[in-house]
Amino acid sequence: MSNETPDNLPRRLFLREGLWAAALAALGVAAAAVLAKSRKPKKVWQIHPLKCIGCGRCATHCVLSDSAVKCVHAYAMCGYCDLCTGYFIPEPKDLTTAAENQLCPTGAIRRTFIEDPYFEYTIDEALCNGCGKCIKGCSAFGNGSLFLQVRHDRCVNCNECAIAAACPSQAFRRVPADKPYLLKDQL
Amino acid sequence: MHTEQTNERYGSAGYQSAVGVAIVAAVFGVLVAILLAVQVYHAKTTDPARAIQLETMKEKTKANPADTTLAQAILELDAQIRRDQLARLYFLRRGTILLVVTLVLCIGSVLWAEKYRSKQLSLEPLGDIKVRQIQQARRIRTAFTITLVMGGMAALFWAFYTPDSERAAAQDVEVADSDIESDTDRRMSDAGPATMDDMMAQWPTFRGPGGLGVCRFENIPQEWDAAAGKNILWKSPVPLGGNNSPIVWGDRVFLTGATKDRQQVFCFDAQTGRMLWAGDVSIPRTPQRQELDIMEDTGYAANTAVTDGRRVCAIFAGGDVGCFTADGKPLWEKHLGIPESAYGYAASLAAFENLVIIQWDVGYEGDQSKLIALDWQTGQTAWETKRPVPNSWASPTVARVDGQWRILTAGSPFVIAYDPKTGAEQFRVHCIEGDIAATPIAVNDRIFVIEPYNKLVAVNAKNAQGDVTATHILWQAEASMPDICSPVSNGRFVWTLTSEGGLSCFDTADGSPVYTHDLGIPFQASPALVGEVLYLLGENGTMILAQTGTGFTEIGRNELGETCHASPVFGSGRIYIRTVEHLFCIGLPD
Amino acid sequence: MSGLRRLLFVLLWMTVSASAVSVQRFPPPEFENEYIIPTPVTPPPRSMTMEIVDTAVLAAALALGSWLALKKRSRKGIVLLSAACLAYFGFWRKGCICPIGAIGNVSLALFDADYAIPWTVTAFFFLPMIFTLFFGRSFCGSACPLGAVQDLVLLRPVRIPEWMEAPLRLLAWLYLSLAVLFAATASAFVICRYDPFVAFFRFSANPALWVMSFAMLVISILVGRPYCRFLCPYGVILRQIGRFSKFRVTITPDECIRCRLCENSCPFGAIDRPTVEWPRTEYARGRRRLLLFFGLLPVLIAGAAALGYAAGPKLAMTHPDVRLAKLVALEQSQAMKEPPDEIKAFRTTGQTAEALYREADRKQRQFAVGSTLVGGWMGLLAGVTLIQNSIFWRRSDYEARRSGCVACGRCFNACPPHRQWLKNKQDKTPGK
Repeated sequence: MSNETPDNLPRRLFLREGLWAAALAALGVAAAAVLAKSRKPKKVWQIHPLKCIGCGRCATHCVLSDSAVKCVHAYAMCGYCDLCTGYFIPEPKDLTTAAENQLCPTGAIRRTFIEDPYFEYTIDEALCNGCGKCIKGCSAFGNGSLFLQVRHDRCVNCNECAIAAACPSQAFRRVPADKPYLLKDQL
Repeated sequence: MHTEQTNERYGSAGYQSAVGVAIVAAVFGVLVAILLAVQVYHAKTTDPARAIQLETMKEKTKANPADTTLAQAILELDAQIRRDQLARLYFLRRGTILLVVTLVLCIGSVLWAEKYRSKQLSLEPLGDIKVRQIQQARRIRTAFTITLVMGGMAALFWAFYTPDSERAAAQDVEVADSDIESDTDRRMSDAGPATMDDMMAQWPTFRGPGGLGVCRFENIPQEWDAAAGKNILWKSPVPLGGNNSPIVWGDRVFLTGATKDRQQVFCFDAQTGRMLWAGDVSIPRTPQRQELDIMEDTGYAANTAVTDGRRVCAIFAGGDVGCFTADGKPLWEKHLGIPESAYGYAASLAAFENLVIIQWDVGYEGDQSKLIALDWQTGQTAWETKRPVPNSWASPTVARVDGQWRILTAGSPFVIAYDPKTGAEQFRVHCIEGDIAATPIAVNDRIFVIEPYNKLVAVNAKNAQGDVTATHILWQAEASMPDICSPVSNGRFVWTLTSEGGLSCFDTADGSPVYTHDLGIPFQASPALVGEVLYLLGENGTMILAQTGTGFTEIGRNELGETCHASPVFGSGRIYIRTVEHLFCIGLPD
Repeated sequence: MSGLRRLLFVLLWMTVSASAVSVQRFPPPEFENEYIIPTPVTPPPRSMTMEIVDTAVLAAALALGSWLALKKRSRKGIVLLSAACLAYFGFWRKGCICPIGAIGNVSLALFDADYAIPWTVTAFFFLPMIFTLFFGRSFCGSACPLGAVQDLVLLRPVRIPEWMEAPLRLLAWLYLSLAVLFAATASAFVICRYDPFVAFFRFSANPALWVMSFAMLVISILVGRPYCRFLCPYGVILRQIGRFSKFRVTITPDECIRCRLCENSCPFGAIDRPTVEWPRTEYARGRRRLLLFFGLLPVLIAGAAALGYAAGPKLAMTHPDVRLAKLVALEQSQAMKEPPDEIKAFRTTGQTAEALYREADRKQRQFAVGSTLVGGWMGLLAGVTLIQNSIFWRRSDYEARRSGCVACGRCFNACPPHRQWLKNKQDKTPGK
């Protein structure tokens, strides 16, 4: 097969150089083609609160064992209800902070009395697991001021968000990094 | 560097400690890994079980709230679950870090120990290089070929293998996915649209065939009494309220009901009154939809549904359209957006061949309204035509006028006829103003339409083309006119019925008033005509029967005893009446 | 259920004093005390400057790695550098942004006009390639965190016989082709999804990924860089580019003395031995065989393409729309007791089933074309591999194979001329 002699050695070298140059050129063209599309700013993952159906997969599908998705409270939209359906289970025994009345499986919502008859609800993110039970409860009967958001202090911004891949309502999207939140009261 | 290492180094303290560290780290690492695995397994198995246990306990405590020990147990279990969850999260986080650290330690010490081992030069005998390289190339080829064959077979198997569970569904889906065209054809052939003749033989829309309110069925009872149970075949509660009228196809009666938070289509068995199915039409979770507030008199389900026997399609006050098969399987949904309507969107649906017709008269400026035709099977928009009218509450009707099927619509200030195939406007008449709610009727190529409170207009639909205001208005009868109820006609006379109970009769030839009679009770249901008997259903549930003719002749009065808003509906030998709470079936027992 | 809802509703209305006609269900209250309505906190994502730092670190690592492998010839330096890169790109950056995963972004960017690829990703994708074209695969040996993990845990290398390597290498090609197909159709970034060591980098993953990561780690103890050699889709690209590299890692800095000492030093099977001429009889046979394989090539391509086409519908299931369409069709064909969340969510969109089917159909068509191409491409590769192994390649020295060498520097110390070179250099250095 090989009939290499010292004679065609320069030819081989020339071929090699040519191939190398061709490869470099090809790589350059490809890089330029891709770079031409790379101008837009950095994107991060976020949940569109109006698309989210609170299915609970955010709690289980994040690559982090403590999900990067947490409940966020748009206080401006909140009714400060006494009977908060995001806080209490349906037909609670009484409107107290007792555990058996709470909807949140981790007790991450804190209920604080403001003035009669208003109560403030704040989220303890360290406890919230992003299950979305309160979101379902709040949007079914309340103002829908509770909603899920990707918290960017936790999110590692995976190339392909594992929750996005599992989201039944395709509510995950890439948003510009300079506006990384889709707050419900500001949509 | 390593080559000078000798076996004596094996005994050195450095080697031994490195191996020791490696072993300890490995054992520790394995322990941590096992613990982590156990934790994960534990979480997967016990958590759901405990959650269920907690739920059942909570249910129990609802039944007997006085049980303090149970309440205490719930508290403890709940706290326990939460504590465990937090502990597990903490453990997992620390455990994985620990695992990686031990792993690094283990590998590092093994590498360190490696330094003490002598590198032995164990070169295989060179042999005959010629033979070896040829052999090697052959081996590669053989192995490669075998892999190719096996890999190819595996891929082939994988590509064609369908698990049993999927197989059943696959057939349907494959067609659906691969070839839309033929898929649509196939569905059409086995569940094609009803012909208009079929439609005319049933009661498929608001006010029956052509929206005329005329019953062609026989053996319609003229006497009943709900209190005594006389001629009441059955009476079934309707889970959700609504002002829409039932529609009937064969043995099935369909109607809809809605509250602000739920909207459903119901199907009842005409024979037994049993509810066969209820189908939900979803409510979009947009703030606008949730802000929608409809006045109570109209309600969220004022729009009567439409059926072609194979399917039933319903629309609700929020502009949500849902279509189901006659068996209750959801086919499609379409959300048209929130209709801007002063009293709440109330137009009923009509149907023509493979299309569902929606008269989308919304907004106050007359720039948002349109007539929409959706494909029965898919819900896709077949055509859309803009309408120059503001919000109205009249329903579209599909009627055979001047030799062809047309869609008739009424909205201030026009009566407009459209070609149901294309949505092209055929003619229009500028003749009515105000909040139009009465549905136009077409009898003998004449269209009768009501301007609320003011007048009844008759339009000649023969040879009408373009704007025929100047030429085709036959007559206009100024009188006290209804604001809600639609007219009814037997060809010779046309009757109108005001909400206060004023029944007026006009001659269709010239619009001259024949008689006026005060029935004395309020009405919301439109009048119906069975043979030569007018069926007038009052709001209080009283059905007044009157003989047609040049004067008012009451021939009967029957009581249901419940409030009625929906118009009466007819089937063969039957009357179906929806009251606020129930669906009644009236008929002569066999 | 509806009764319960109604009850709740009534309760709500009773407990909350809503004054005017509500825009929302319950208007935000007007507080009499000093209470100020708080705004939710929104921690910002990682800043853009850090991305520039990432790119700079990568470029520096590549340059340093190339220098260490080609010029300095220091295995120790390469180990230290790769450990540093493991710490930075792996444990600090949690494995995300890496050239391997960037394959997905670049493929999507090339096929989807709407997808804007971040420029850092572009840089991450092309920088190692350009370096490889000049200096060989120093990315794999020095900068790649996945390579570093495998390299560092390689304790007892077992030599994989060459006849096993060729078929296994085809796996990487398959993985790359499918990954490009999935990414180009906007279905999934599978490379990122099945990153072999990301579980360690993040200290968290689902159990399946943990098992996979551990299995890969254990295999890596015995087999040199199993992911790099047999799976890594980026490695397979660099492998091809490496063939053309301008400069290369050489086992010896001087002339090869054919001492055979380096033969076993490479755990990745990337050292080619010198060859001798085939006997004449073998040439004749070889020529016939070559002819056969060339004849077989179109058959292989066509067969594999057909196989790819057949696999198309199954592969298409990776796309969410196709999955959803299938689910919706399933739901329509047989009554489901409780429709899954996907169906419920789909209904709220107001999209028609038919439109969804059409979209799914479009995707399936894309997959039909794509998977046929992938099939044909794999057939071509198989044929080329067969042909490659039927040709006599002349080599007179022990050489680091341009394609396979990851520039780890293990062979340096085995080479007596290298040691001599090192000694000479140390002697020359003043002060030593």
